This record gives sequence, C-alpha cells and structure tokens, in this order.
Amino acid sequence: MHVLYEYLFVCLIAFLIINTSVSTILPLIDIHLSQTEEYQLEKLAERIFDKILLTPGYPYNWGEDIRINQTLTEDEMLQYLKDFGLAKAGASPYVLDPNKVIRLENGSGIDNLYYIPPKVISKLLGIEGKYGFQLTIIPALNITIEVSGNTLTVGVYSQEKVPLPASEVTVYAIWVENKGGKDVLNNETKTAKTDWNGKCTLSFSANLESKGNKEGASFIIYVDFYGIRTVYISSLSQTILASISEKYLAIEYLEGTGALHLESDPLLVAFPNIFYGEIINETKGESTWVINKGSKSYKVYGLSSIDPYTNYIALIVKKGNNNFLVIAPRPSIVYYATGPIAGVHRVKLTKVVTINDLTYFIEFYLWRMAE
Amino acid sequence: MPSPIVSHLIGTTMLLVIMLVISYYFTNFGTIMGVRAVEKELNEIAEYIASNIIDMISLTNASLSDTLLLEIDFPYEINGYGYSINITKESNHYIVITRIEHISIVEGKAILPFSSQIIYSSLNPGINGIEGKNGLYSGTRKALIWCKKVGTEIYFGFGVRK
Repeated sequence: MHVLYEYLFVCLIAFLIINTSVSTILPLIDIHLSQTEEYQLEKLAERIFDKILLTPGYPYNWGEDIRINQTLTEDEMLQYLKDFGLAKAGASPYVLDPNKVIRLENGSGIDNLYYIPPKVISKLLGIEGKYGFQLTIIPALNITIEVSGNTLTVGVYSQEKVPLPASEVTVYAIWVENKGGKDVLNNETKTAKTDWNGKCTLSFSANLESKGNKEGASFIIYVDFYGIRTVYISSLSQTILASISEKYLAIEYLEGTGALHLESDPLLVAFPNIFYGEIINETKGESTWVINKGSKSYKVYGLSSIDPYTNYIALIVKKGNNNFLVIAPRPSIVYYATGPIAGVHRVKLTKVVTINDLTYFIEFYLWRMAE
Repeated sequence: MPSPIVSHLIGTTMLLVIMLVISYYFTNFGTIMGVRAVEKELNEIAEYIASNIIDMISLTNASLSDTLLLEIDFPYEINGYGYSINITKESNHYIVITRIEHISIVEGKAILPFSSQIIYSSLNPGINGIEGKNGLYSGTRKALIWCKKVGTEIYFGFGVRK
C-alpha cells in the first residue's frame, strides 16, 4: 500500500478513537452535572414552598382586599398585592389563611371574581418565564357517603384509600320541610365512630334520599381521626349552583326556565354554629331577590360579612310553589397551576397544613420552563 | 503519485495538526467542564445561603423575637479559588450571587422569592456583638445571617460575630 494511504488510514483511526472516547466521556460528565442541577431545583422548590407556607405576604391581610379582583390587569394587581404568602398573619407555622387560599380557587362552577392568576404569583416569586409551578390543596381525609332512605353511611379513608377505624364522625343534615303549609329548613345532628372497615351508619328522622331528590338535602360531615380533621360537604341533586368569594355570593340556575326567587337571607354554617347572613343591596326591591332576571342566569349578592370559619352557606330558593335548598360550599380542593406539569426534571414536595382548624395536604410541583 | 518523501511530509504534518487540534479541543473542553463544575458548586453555595435566608425570614415572621441570628458555614475555597457572596437586586427581586474572579468571572445565583417588605441591609444591624458586612468572602470566620423585624418590615443582612 502506498505510504500516503497508510497515513490517511492512521489519521482516520486516530480520529475515530478520539471521537468515540469523547462521545463516551461527555454524557458521563453531563449526567453528574444534570444531577446537581436537579438537586438545585429541589432546593429552589423547598425555598419557594417555605416562602408560600410560612410567610403571610404583603399586605398581611391581602386575602381580604377586594380591590384585587378580576377587573384588574395583572400589572394593576401587583399595585395592591406586593408579596405572596398564604400563612395566616400572627398564627402558628403551617396555618394558612382561608381568605388567601380562596383567591387561588377558580373551579367551583362559577368564576371566582377575586381569583388571582398564577402569572401574577410567578411574578411576585420572581420565577416568571423560568419556572412553572402547581399547587394542590386537598383534605387530609377522603370521605365517601351513601344515602339510602333515612340512613347515611359514611366511609373514612386516607388519601391512599386505607380505611381509618375509630374516626369520630359528626353529621349535620339539613333539608327543606313543609310545616303548617310553610317550607322551613330543618336540621339534625348525629355522631358515630367508624368500624374496622372505616365505615359507620347514621339514622335520621326524615327520608333524606327522597328529600334530596326533590327539595334538596345536604350534609356537612366533620371527621376527627386522632387530631386530623376534615369537613366534607355534600348536596343531593342540585340544579342551582352557588359559590362564595370573600363576601360575595353568586347563584346560578343551570337548567330550565322560570324565575327563581331568593326567599330569605342566607344561613352561614360555621360548623357547629349557624349564623344569619345579611344581604347588602342598594335596592331591596323585588328585582334584588330574582336570581335569573332577563338573559342573566346568575346574580351576585354582597353579604355584610362572612365568618372566616364558614364551611358553607345555605339558601332557600323558590321556583313556582316549590322551595329548594341551595348550598354554596367554601372550596375544599384547590388546584392552582401556571400550566400542565412539564419539563424533564420536576420536583414534588408535600406538607400538612391547617386551614380553619382542618387538616389538608398541600402538594407543590416545580419545573424548569427550559432545560 | 507523489514521491515517498512528500507523502511522509504530508502524513506527519496531518498527524501533528490532528494532535494539536485534539490537545486544543481537550484543553478547552476541560476548561469549560471545569468552569461548569465550579459554577454548579457556586450555585449550590448560593442556594444554601438563600435557603437559610428564607428560613430566617419565615422564623422572624412567626417568632416573638425581633432579632434572629444564624451562623453559617460554607467552603473556604472551590478548586483552590476564593469566592465572594453578595446580594443584588434584579427586576425587583433579591438574588444571592457567589462569584469567583480569576481568569474569567464565574458566578452562581439563587433567587430569593419575595418582593417587598423584606429589605437587604449592608449596614451595621445595631445588634450587640455583631458587625454588619456588605457581603462575605470565603474563609470568613464566624459568619452569620441576621434578621431584624422593624414595624412591618424585615431587614436582613450578613455579618460576623466580633
């Protein structure tokens, strides 16, 4: 073989050897560096999560500031909300402010007028455009109910579906009952302990199954499992939806036609206490009490005040000659995210928090927008 | 075909060129990887400092005490180089910056996720036995982070125990 070809061959072999070794070494070094990056993402997530859970933000009571609402642009919101944190000012660590948490909820059927978009929070946390996040707040206990005639069977489980025996269950049932030709709200409270299977059965004086199918019946179920407390609210067959945002109550009729009348001031249930809420309106005329006037299927009412511990608001709504019970629960599950979880590396952190003396799991995901 | 001497000359030159290119490539590769590794270590130190600052601020919020101190320990060198720890403001947010100034500037950064009412102070905090510092240097002994609640504002900064 000619000597030039020999040299060319040697060069080619040398090039191949070097190329192979470089392409083998490079990923090995890169894996180590990307592992460090992943660890650093975890540190950042811990820092942001601590900031959200352990500081109240600024102003300290920003959850009660109704100037921050959906009519503002994101930049305008930042003029009122200067710093983000969900902690209740002056409370113990990991106690969250319900008025702040409710600002993150936007999925209960009617738009939350006081919802703060995740982009605003990203800006306040200084992660906008660089990192995405998701915050989920769920009750610590998973509660199921089965209604049959006048009995109610309650199941208490962990979020991993493990039955929780010896849980103390208190059920507050509320329904519409005709007394002397007049529809009134009736209620009954029962308590029981769950068996080995995490279940207990409670009997009521009224047939709640049939009430639920007609005028409406609702249950507020308070469970205490060795200090882990959850409230579960359930309403049977409702076509009239209601939601609460701060001091405002929105009511919407989902099906059918015909005027709906709000019959009285609402009942505020802060278990185990019940208060009368007062609707504040400029005009107390007939139009105030008609929910679905003209083309509008909903109406928003301002209340004089809502106790921060309110679990739900109960209302009686009249259509024709029938009265219906409508329940507006405060949200028990919050899902708040900048977008769907993305990124090759993501970090998930979980903590237990207390809101309104009830126990919740809070999950936080953080990911890089660009790897 | 060229003569064998010319062929040897071309071949040897090519081999030499390849060797030079390879050594240059590996030197550069090593430098870049070294810088990246140092950058990661600086990032890690910045993350550690930032996490401690957030913990301190959270504690100050919840604590009845107006002043909190935390002694911090950090490596006194990275790859044989000393470094500085500072806090700067970038688009309304504080950032912890760790920096080596040698042949080139290598930096590590960690964001502090708060926007207002929490203020970095390079001044003396007015706490007995503590000297305020505008940034820290690797090797600083008895370095600490201080936090002080004044009205609705929380001040924080670096310092050393006298």
